[in-house]
Amino acid sequence: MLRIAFSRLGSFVLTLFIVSLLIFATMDLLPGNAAAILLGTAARPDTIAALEQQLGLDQPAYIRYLTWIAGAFTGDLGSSASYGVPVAGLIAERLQVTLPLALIALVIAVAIGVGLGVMAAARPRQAPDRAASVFAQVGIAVPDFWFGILLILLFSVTLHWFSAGGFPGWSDPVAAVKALLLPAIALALPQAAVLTRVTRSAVLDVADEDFIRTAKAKGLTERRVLWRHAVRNALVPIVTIIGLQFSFLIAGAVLVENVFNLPGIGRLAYQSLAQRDLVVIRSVAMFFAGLVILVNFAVDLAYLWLDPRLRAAR
Amino acid sequence: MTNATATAPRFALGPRFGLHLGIAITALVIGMAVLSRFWTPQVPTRLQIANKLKPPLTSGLAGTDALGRDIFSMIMAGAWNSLSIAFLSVLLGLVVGVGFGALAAARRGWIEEVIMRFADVVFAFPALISAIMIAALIGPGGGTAVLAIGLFNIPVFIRVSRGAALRIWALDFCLAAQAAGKGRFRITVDHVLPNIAGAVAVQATIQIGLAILVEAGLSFLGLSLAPPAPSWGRMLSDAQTYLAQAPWMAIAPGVTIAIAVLGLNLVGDGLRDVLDPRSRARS
Amino acid sequence: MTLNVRIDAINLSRWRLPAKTLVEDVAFTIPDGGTLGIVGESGSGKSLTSLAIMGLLPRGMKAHGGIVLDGTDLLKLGERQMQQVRGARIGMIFQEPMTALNPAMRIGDQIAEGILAHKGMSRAAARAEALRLLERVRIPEAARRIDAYPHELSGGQRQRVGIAIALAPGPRLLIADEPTTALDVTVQAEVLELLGELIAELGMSLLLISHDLGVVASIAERTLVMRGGRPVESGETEQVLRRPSQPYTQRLIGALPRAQKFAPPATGVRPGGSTPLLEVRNLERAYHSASGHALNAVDGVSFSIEPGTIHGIVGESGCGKSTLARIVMGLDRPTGGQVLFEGEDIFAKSRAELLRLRRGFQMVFQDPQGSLDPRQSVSRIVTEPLFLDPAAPRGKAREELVGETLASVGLSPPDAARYPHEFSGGQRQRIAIARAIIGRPKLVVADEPVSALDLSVQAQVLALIRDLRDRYGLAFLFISHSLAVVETISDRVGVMYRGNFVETGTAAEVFRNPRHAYTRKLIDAEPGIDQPRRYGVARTVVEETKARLA
Repeated sequence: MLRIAFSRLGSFVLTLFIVSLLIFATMDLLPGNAAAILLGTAARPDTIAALEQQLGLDQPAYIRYLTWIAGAFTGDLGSSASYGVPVAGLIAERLQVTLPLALIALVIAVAIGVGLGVMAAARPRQAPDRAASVFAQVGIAVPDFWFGILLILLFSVTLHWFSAGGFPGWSDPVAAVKALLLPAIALALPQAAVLTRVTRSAVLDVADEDFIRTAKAKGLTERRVLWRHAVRNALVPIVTIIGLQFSFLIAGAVLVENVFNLPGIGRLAYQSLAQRDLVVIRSVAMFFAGLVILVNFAVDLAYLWLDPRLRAAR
Repeated sequence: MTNATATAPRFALGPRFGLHLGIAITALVIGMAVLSRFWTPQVPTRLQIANKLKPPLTSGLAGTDALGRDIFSMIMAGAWNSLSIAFLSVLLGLVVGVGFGALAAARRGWIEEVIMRFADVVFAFPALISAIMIAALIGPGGGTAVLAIGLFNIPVFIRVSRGAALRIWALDFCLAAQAAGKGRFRITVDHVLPNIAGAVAVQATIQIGLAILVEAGLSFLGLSLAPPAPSWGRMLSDAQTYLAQAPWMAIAPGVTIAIAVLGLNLVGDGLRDVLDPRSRARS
Repeated sequence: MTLNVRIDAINLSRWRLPAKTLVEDVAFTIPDGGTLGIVGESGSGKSLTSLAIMGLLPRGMKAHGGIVLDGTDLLKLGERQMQQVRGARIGMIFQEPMTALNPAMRIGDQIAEGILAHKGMSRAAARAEALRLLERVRIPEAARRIDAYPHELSGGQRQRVGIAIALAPGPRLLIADEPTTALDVTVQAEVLELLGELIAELGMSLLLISHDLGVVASIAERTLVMRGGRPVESGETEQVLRRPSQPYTQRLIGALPRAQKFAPPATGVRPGGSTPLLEVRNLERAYHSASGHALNAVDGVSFSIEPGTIHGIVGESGCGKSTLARIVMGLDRPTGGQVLFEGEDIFAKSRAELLRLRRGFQMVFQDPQGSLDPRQSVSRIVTEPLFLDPAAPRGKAREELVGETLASVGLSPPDAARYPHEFSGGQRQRIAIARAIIGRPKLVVADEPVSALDLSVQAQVLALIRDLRDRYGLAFLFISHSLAVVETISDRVGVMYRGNFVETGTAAEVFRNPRHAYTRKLIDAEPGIDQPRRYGVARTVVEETKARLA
């Protein structure tokens, strides 16, 4: 089992490496390099050359790549041209918003999605199932950032329960969580809807399996058959979808942070684009891609825990 | 048992209700998009500052925005832009993805390894992040949107088509075709592709819906088509500024997006149920 | 315990569809300690009947009538009350040992679960009881295996665990739905023996559902024959299976593969030359597992097939017979040895030459569902092998050839335009055979071609294969796990075990006078209807009769 875990770790590191090469290649090697893009078309060649030297762009590509990657470990990712501060610090600071936001959204989505999905699968085709299906269909179709706007319209503009956006910082944790609550709900809606669907159909799939009949033939209660046998074996597809959806959660975070004016990494990426700050974009892209790969690596490990058959295989 | 289900008459309206509703909605949205090429109530890009921020029904069906443009006309014209970007990007993802997916299933071994690793790598980029990277290089626009959304569709189609193709390859008729002397390419064309077409079509329908959502997100951030081209996402971004004075600006485009996506998803689910009798019993 | 079943109907009702009756007018009684077998082909309603007793009919189905267990009508019980009956008073064993156990739960827990649900026992006591049961069903090293997951056990062991699960809460009646169908014949014998031993020891009653007349004959006192949801006849097993009164039962028994019904074996004629049609020399195929050690799936096999003869290969799962078939077809490469087709080594050929040679041999598969492309018409399916043949007829002539070929396998020419899903399992297998013979090959490799078919259909397909041998002088390499089928159809036979033949010869030699111990074991394990009941016969005849009179 340990061997399988290590081989997964190997492929995780390999994927990270290829992704970093890809990001480096698109951001640093393609025509129209960082300095030129930053300064715009009207810049004089000598200004560009000076900035190139300042950004270290006059060095050979592999040196620049190694510097960047080494920086990822030492915390020195270079300086942002537009903010004039170290990129690593910038990301670390913004992480304090994005990470809690994503986590709260994930918890809400899993609680609602798995709960509704299991409830629907327990009594297929009855009223609660129909209601859950309608929720799922609508939830998937509603854009999360628009749902955020609607939440602002209702709770901030009309009811004045929440502020329309902004983030007060973690010095006041209650206010901070309150500021993150509406965006997290907006972010969670489509995730919860997808999870509802997947949970429902995964549990129903398992309900068709022979071992469910064996469990019922033992005279177990419906509740025990549902949770111990059906849901337990439906966890693999459910966890798979949580992993696959993580990429959408991140895309959603970029949008929702902009809607609610939250100083998170998603907003940083967007602002850096406006400032044409490639040094920041490169590291932010790597950060997000790394996060997606990490989550899917975690999902791979979760399979080993969830399905004993995989532990023995290969 | 199997005979009983095979000979059962086709279900009447009930279980297919979702599919029919989805087809109706999708036809309506596509119709609206096509119609907008020839006719809209107002010219969607015409500014009438004097007529600005009018609520629905006082000026046009859905009111006017901060620049006095007719919102309903903008939604109609936006449908064309949104649908064509969504369609093109999914087409890009489908062609490349199914090609690689079928190749991976046919060749196995290291070719499959490389293709799946490639899918993992591409998958690591959320569409919005790759859009930001692409926009940083070539600037925002329709091409950026198609490229970014298409890119994130590639691994989706690689996985779907490889999975479906592997299930077909495991069946005896592929062995029979090999025994008949057909090569892997020939078997892919003769047996595998026709049998995975259904699964791919279902996925494509759902991906177009998803692409509409992503495109809306991109244009909300200004990464898609440049103004003045009407776009649902940018209408929402404009609406946020006037949320207190003109909430209708935020309602109509959002509802339109949700309905368009809902229609496509209903079609996708309905098709899946028709093509896979096993899932029909469940939904 | 007495179970009195009177099912008037099992109905299936679906939204906006007329209700459909799947089972009708089934009635039987199982006395305390009695054993009843229900036999029938697929669609006979035998499994539904057993599920109705357990109250586990699929959604949308409802049983009407009365199922009275010791005075309580089970059909009148609510779900909660039924849960107290399931497991505790009626235990059930299912067909597929691969899927009938929860893959994510340790087997000890799966056994203890039923005990905890019905008996006021501590967890530790339930675990001790589970261990005792595992030992009782003869799981080796039970103390260690109690924490194993199902995938770590063999098929036979899993079915033993299934029996332990059913026994755990202490039911007085056991329902076994095709308990040994998925098992090899020697394993089947062990499981049936264990089952018989347990019901005799515990004085339990048994309701056994099976499609296999031999299995029912070997364990059931009384037998009920069902067809199309209705009972056909019932009575003492011996009487029903040896002196059947109903034409359907007679036909069913007549369809049992039996060698003596057919003419003496064909010896085959070598046209002119002196080489056999197919010669396999010292064939080897090794697989390397990830952990590094090699496994010889096929280990030095040699045999030859004469034109116009049927060469049968019989063996249990994992003996290498399917690997052998794939290699002979050129679909897999051997790691040693040769395959000579009309004297030419097929693996020494260039691809083009191999393709030319391949026109001379074709293949028929087991699963009539998966062997035909559902998106192609019968005509396209059947003509696939002509792909190789540049001289194959085109247009009108090809249509005629298809019609002719379909007619020769017992289908009609207009069937060419139809699609596979419009045909039954037996007809699909005929289409597959038509595909194999359309290019007039000399050899057809048939891998378990009748295993998925009902008895009566199986007999028809076997007759067709014989007919094709006689009419066209076709040779067959016929692979099966069933001794009876191989004995019926083959001219020569090889008994395969662990990658090689333990015995070869004419069918009569091998099966009448088996020389090898393994062959004898196989023959002994095969349940037949001509043998007396041999499992679960511990109680005295007196008790038996008394119970039945009561």
